Amino acid sequence: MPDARGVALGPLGIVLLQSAERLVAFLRASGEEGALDELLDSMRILQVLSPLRTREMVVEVQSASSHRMDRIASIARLVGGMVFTGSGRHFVKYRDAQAPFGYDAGELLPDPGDLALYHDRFSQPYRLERTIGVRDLILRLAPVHVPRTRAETPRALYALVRIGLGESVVGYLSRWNAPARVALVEWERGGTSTSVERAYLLVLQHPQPRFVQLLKSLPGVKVFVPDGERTAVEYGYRHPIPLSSCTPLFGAEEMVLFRSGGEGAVVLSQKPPFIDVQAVTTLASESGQPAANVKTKPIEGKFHLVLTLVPSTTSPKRVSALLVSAQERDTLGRALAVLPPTALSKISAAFTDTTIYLYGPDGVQNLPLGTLFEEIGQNVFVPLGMTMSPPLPPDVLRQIARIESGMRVFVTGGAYPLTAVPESAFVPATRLLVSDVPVHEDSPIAPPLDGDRVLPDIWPSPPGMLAGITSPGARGGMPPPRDLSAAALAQGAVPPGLPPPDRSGQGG
Amino acid sequence: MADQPIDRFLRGFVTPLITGGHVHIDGVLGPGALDDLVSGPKGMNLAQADGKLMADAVNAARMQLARFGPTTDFVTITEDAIGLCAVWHNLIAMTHPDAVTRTGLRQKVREWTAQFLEWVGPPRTAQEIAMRHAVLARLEELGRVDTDVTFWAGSARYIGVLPPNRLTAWKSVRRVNEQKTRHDLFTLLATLAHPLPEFDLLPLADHALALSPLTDLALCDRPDAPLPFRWTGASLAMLADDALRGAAMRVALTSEGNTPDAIARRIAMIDRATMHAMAIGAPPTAVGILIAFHLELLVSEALARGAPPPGQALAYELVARLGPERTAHLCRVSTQVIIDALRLDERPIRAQSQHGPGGALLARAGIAEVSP
Repeated sequence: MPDARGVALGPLGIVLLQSAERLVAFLRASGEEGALDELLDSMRILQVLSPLRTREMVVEVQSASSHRMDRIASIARLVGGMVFTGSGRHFVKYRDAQAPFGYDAGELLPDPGDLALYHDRFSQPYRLERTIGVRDLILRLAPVHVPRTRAETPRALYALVRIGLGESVVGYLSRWNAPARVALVEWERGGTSTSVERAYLLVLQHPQPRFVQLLKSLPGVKVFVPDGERTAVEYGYRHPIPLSSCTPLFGAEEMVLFRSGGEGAVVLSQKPPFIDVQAVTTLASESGQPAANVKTKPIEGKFHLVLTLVPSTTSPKRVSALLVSAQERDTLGRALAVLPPTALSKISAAFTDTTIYLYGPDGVQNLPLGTLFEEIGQNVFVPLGMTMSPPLPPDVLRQIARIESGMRVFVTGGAYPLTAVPESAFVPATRLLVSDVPVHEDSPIAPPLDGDRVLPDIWPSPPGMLAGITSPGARGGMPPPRDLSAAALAQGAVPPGLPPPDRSGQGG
Repeated sequence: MADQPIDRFLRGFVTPLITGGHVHIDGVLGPGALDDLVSGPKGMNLAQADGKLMADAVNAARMQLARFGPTTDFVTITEDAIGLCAVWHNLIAMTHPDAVTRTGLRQKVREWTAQFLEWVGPPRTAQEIAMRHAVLARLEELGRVDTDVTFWAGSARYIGVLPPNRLTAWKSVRRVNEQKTRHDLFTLLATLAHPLPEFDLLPLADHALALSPLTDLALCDRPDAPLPFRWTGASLAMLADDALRGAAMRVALTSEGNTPDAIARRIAMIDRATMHAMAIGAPPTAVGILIAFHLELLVSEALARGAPPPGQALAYELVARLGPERTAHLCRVSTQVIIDALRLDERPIRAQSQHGPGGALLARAGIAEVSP
């Protein structure tokens, strides 16, 4: 029966696929295209048998509209499937470019079986062998490996930890104050076995990469990444079908963990109650009897030590920065101007009212003025040969001083021991040397290259009356013949064997 | 330290010849003067000239030479270049009207200058060729400004030098009129000619030009009358050197205004010199060098202009006879460059005659033509 656009359309649409692999490909393509979740409520997967006893797969959906069927048809053709529409047991080929309004069957098969398909090249009855549940199919599929380059650090992580390892792993995460929660889960092994497996399930929000690496490398621990609301797939793998499109197939309280290596999925009928790892960690002392009669005192927040600079006992490392007084600005400019270009290109500078900050590992040590600084880490600089007292690590110093990232911190001592300069304030020194270069826009018709060259004009004195006798050197002798040694000719000798330079060109 | 002869010569003649300004010609130089210039009066050599004067001259020469591309570098003006400057000093001195008619002096200067030329000799290295041209590149621009002054009581002529201020003061009251005339080098050199060979100085100028092959080539479009351009052994040796051939090409393709017609005239002179070399029996090696030079001139100018240039008849004929592949081989570029530069795909070149000069050149060089 034609729809509003005149396309022949039955209430059902079916996709005939030659194998289970193509069925999976169809479901994956539908999931990626975003059509799977709207098909799931009406989808049935049938395994059918042809008269030649070959098994084929049929996906049956509500056709609803020709727009929907068009999307299904384009995906099905992509994976080598054939699309039909109809109702009951008879289905005709769905429209294609050759027949924009669809097809009709000229004559019904006398024995249509459970399903009769009418194509423009064949008509064939099929017998229904069994119905496959979509959920069962998805649970049976094994995750496939993802190349390492495409694996990203996840925002949340599940870890299934064997019971024996649980305490150590939970204790470790607790000690590092990791944002982790833990639950004890049980599930039936499935298959012919009736045994029940137990494990700890950890969930980490925004895990640091080192935790991910550690958990991943531990035997007995399987790490999962959430894919959809109710499912998670083992880290480094993906499910063949986008699980985020299959949410309706799983219960609201259900949680499914897809394991790799043919171990099957772990189906938890209820989402486990996760408890913070800090809450479950054993805090018992290992030192036998507890100490008695200890007087407690309120802990003071700080010791109020003053941050100072003291001579370092270790040898200086690499000069990374230089502080020059603003009064020496001109001297600095002249010093920068004579630096070799390679050294100059490595230097950047920031200006304040009192000081010029120069940053440039391997560059600034060539400048003969100012105070040299070395970097102790995380953009924290101390004067060369000095160290901080108390010896704070750079990250702690930044935390205490509440200095945001993107700032360079110079430990200068004195009343204000730290000076922070934004990295963005540093500009390449090469841009600072010249303030403004006037550019002359030449006229399109350029004057001759030699237009302003002074001509050589002869400025003669007349030869005197007795020039033949009184001229300079008239009575002297010629200089000795020129040096014709091989050494004198070593540079760029002209090729031999050509005639000497006389006008006749015939030698002589 | 007292002013040395070489210092005076550098300051008065060599440096102004390169940079422009007053080129002082103070009489003529005898053999002993050349000895003083290159050896020094008290055993001093050229390297002990005033450092600043020498540096000025070398810097000017280096800049002059840089116009013709990378050739060579030097740290001092060499003695052969100084010797050649002394030759030109004497020749120019003899163009003074007071010297033109003095046959005795002409004979003496002829003898001395011939000795200078023999002492300088042909260039033996690429550096000598470059150095000589660096000093003499502006020889063509050399000129003498004569001033004719007329005033209420008479007139006077000043050869090269400015008239005294007292003569030109109060111009309107004393009705002073100055007429300046600049005589170019070849007009001046024409006065060196003399019907009697013992007094004729022009062959010496010809020889002096030949001793600086790049300068000789740069002046290839000079007036024929005194000194026609001809290929010499030195200039062929120059073309055999890659760096100098590049400089020679720039020299040949540089002309006042760089108009296609002016360059075509220069190339026509070079064509004529090549045919003259053929006529006097140049050896196959030399002819081969000349063929390659003509082809490179054509391709270079075509690439520079973005179109096949006018003139260059000999080179076009050679291309027609050789075909693009062999032309490309001789020019050491790809065939496509030749086709694109000369637009052979749009306008094929054909030899005008079976007996054109190009055929004889190729035959002498032993290069086979492609069959039409």
